[in-house]
Amino acid sequence: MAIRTFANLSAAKLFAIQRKQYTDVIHLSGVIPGNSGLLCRTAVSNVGHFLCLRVTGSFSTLMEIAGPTVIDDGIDHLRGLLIDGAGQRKLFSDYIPLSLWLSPGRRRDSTAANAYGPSGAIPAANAGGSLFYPVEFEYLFTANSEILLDVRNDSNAANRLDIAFHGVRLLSGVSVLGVKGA
Amino acid sequence: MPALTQAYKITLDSSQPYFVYERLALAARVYTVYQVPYGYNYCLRRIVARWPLRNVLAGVIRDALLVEVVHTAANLRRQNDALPLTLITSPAGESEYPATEPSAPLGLSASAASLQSTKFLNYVAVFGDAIRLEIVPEAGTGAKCPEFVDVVLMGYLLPESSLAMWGSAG
Repeated sequence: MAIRTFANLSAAKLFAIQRKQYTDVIHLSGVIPGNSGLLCRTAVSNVGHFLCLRVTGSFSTLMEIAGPTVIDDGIDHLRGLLIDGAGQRKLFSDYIPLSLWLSPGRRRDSTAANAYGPSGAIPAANAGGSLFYPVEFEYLFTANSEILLDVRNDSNAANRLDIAFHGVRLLSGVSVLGVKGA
Repeated sequence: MPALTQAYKITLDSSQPYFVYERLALAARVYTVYQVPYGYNYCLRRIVARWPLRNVLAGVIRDALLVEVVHTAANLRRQNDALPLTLITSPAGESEYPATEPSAPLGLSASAASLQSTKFLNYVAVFGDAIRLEIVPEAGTGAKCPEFVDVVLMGYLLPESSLAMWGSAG
């Protein structure tokens, strides 16, 4: 008996689903000044609601020493509190060090004086992490809202973070005009 | 009060992920208690922990830690014995102090070790319950206890649907 793969796929049915939902990624980034904090935010947009399923992210670990020279010390200086902008609902109990919930986590910053070799007595920075474990984070962010991350930086140098929320966009029939069946 | 055997399905109706973070100073046995907020059940999916492994000036130290999870309201133990923490969460995990620090004051930022694998626990603490986490340094000759351990409980707050606050008729 011949095995026919994908025999039951229907373009009409698949397009009907795709008109209403598709995979999407929302990016949130920020540069947090030294010894300071920043409320990083990204818009969910009015296209539709966003069902987040996974979170990945990376951040730098810079420190300024005498010189002044900025080095990569590999220390987790950033901690964040995730907030659903719709209703200001806190999703964390406290500011959590980023290395405890983000993968790949620390990334080596090429602007550091010791990025690829020693800088005086400071040894070369270690290589950054690889993406290993997207953290499960199932939550529905509503359309027209924002995803907020309140970040604190205990280093005296600015540090950067990038976070990606991976999930599914649920198109809103109100905002998507002219889509038949939406 | 729902039966403990009731299966909890993560839904999108007012449920939310909720990460709980705490840094625990260790001496001997240490407890931390997370009280489930009013109106919710809490499904603990995984525990992520990190503790200082090596201090350059004081030498290589830090033995494995044992952890036990207890649901306090029912005094329900989820394990028959305290488990090595490394069997629940990976010791990345273990992280170094900065070389200039002889010890680890509680305010110290640890090195940004990579997030590794963890075990899905799926422990559900029902409405009104609390999760007590007990961490004990593993005993041994010459064992040195880490000064602190960072713990993150990753889970979901699930509305207790039988309550009137969620629209139930009671």
